[in-house]
Amino acid sequence: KRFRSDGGHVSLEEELETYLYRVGELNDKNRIGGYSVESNIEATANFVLDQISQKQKEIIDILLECARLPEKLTIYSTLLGLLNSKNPDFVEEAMDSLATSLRNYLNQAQFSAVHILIRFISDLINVKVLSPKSVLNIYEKMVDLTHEQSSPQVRTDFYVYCILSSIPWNGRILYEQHGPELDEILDNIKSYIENRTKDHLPLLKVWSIDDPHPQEDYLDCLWIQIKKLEENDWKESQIIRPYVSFEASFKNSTLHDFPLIIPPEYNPQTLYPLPRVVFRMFDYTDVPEEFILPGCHSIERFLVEEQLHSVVNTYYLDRKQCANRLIQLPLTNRIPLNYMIVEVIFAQLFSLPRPAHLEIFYGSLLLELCKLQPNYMPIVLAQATELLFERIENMKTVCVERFSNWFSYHLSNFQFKWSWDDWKDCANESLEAPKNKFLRETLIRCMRLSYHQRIVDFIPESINSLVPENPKPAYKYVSDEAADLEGTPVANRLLELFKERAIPEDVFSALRDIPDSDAGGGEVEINPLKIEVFTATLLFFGSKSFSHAFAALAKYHMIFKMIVDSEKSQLIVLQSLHDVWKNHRQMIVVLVDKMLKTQIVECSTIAKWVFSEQMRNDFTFFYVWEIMHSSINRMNKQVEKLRLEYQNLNEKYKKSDLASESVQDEITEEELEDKLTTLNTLKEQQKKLFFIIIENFFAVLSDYLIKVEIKIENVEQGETFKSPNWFKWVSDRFEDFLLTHNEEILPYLNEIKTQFFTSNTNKYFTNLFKMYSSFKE
Amino acid sequence: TRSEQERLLSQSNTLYVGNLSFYTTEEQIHELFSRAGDVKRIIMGLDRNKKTPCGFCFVEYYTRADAENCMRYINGTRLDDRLIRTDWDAGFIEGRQYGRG
Repeated sequence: KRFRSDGGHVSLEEELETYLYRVGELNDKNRIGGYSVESNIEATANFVLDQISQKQKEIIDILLECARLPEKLTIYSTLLGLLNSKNPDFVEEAMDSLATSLRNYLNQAQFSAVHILIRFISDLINVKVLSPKSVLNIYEKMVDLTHEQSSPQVRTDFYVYCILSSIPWNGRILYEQHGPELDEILDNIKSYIENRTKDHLPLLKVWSIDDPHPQEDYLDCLWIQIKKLEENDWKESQIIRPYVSFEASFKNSTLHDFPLIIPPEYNPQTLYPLPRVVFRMFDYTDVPEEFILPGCHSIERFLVEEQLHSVVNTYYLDRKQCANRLIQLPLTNRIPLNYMIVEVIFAQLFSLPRPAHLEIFYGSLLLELCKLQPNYMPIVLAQATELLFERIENMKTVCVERFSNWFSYHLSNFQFKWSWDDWKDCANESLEAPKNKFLRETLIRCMRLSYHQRIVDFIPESINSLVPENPKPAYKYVSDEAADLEGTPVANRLLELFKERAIPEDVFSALRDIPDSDAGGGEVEINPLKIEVFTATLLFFGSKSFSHAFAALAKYHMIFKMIVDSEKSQLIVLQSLHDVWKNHRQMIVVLVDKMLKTQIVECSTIAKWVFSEQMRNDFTFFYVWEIMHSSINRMNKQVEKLRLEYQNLNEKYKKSDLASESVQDEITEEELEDKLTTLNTLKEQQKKLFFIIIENFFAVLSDYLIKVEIKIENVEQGETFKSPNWFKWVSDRFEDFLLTHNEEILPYLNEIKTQFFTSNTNKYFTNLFKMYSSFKE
Repeated sequence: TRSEQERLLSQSNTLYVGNLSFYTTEEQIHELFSRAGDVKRIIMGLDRNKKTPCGFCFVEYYTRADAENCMRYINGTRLDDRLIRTDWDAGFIEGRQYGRG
């Protein structure tokens, strides 16, 4: 086994790496030792002990990496325990390196690494490597922060979470040997937990009601789980502890004191993990009888979930390995692992404001899991889908959207096979009803991944009415009404010119047949009809594919530059685009984005257009919000890019000031100021965009709320007004907008309040902003 | 040279996409691939003689990171019922869209 299959010799370092990374994995063919995890760990320990004299530094480096593999934590602590029993000096060195690395992660604000390493050192008590007191000292320093006035809650939350989520590993031994100290820490945490603000909680919830599963704040839930563990004398039944077999070997081990770790001072720049809610979708009644799903407040539920989350977050770059590790999670009890995997993946997918990883990662991970367990996983997923669909009325809009995006993608990998007929009831519901909307939006997405006829073919007659329109262009200048339209002659001429590949100048002359008007003072006002005819005809000409449309836009870009000179004319471009492509929403999304990139239209105009009269009927369609978010993101990216450029320039400027002899790339003060001016101008535009959006949300939502009030007082009758479902779709979009862009918007909070709040602002808004303000405190 | 080719590949934002159905459209490809990141352009592979799609395309992203996500999460999944394959490409050059029919 010292030789590779290709005949090359394996170096000692490579061998060490292989054995150390794969220790405890019984399916590994290069395994040393016998057929149990214990004998494999022992053999690995002996191999390592032989190499310490020549490869100490390399071994420590590898071990530090391994210590961050969360699902194998107790395997590595066992290994370290064995090494310590034979070579305590080596382990002393390793602990010093571990402390250095932990301090680095703390200073770099790499919180998930910190969290995992704290848990690792917590477990090292069990193998007689570390003294319990030295670990308690670290906990105490962390708990002390809860008394600090200046610490924001996200900061103290993180440290409290580190302690609480590590205690299941060492609670028993702390309780036996240091009961009073443990109690004191827990008492402190108790009063901290009781006094935390949780106004932000409703913003983070996936469901609007707590039935059937309450959605608790993550620390509240963990605290209850820890209390239950305490009541159970700190005995849990989920962690696999290979070290139990080696207790005799640890008897005479040297205990080390882990160096004291003190959390770094509070720095306002640091981004702490945001608060979370615990997402649950299954309970014991949902899973087959032969398995026991641990209850929502049992520590075992936490332990399994926590490990599944860690595996996902550790292996997300490789979906195949990630799927393999998930289904091979070492377990002590017969728990319904597939259900818990699915629950954890959906928890991440629905996490607010945004998922930790790309949505498509979760989709392809679920595909991989279906491939690995074709007889189980698809069944669990189908059950999960039904459950989510049943509860869709109470689901937050942005989660409904993610659900729909995932489901369409998943189905496109399974030939769109689904028991569609089961959902026929919702075909008769109103267009704004959640199930009806979900299904229609999902079919639109399915069509985007396939084609119209395909949807027609797989949809049963019972829900025929939900099939999306055929996504063909609607060009009025060739329709029946064309003869009566003022623009038809010019439109026909343009179409001929486009087909002849005419140069822009000739097209521009043809447009002169539509006269502009005199705006007074020698100014000319461009005729809106001119913009409309040109845009519609050009898009119709390029309607064959995205490439055709892009080519047409590029070729005649200068005409846009000449006739689209104001916000009003930009709005006409967008309206004409919508007229032509109203049945092909993906085309609208892509073309609006293209026009934004090529500076035919601006972000702020797109925002106004979304709230305009023309979009009233489309307003709750998901594609509209796809457009809105992508324009905001584009603006944010630009600001961020410029901010970095300015920062770099500023640093260079400071340096060139210090070392004046390097003249070649010296930055002048003027250059620096220019950059700052550009940055500030762009930031003003970004702010303007946010304020336009907020103002419009206030307007449409108030409009509804006022009408509801009037209706209650029975003053006005007979007016059809928007439904509660409409209000839900729209208010959810407002909340999502605020939450998703919280980093950019929160700095303007006070200004927003001054500008939009009056003494009779509806309670809906005051409540919302109360939650929002507490989001990052 | 080979090392030059490797250098280009390691910096590329462009992917070669193979095993597509002849009927798969640019719109479908855009829908799937934009789930991994911001797509800059799609160049459909065409039959040299008939100038019709012939089962491959190039997808270029704005950033390397997005293209990497595409390799991670889209490679080996299905589009139009076919398992599609993505590979790094050194960058599209005019003329390369013409393949064998």
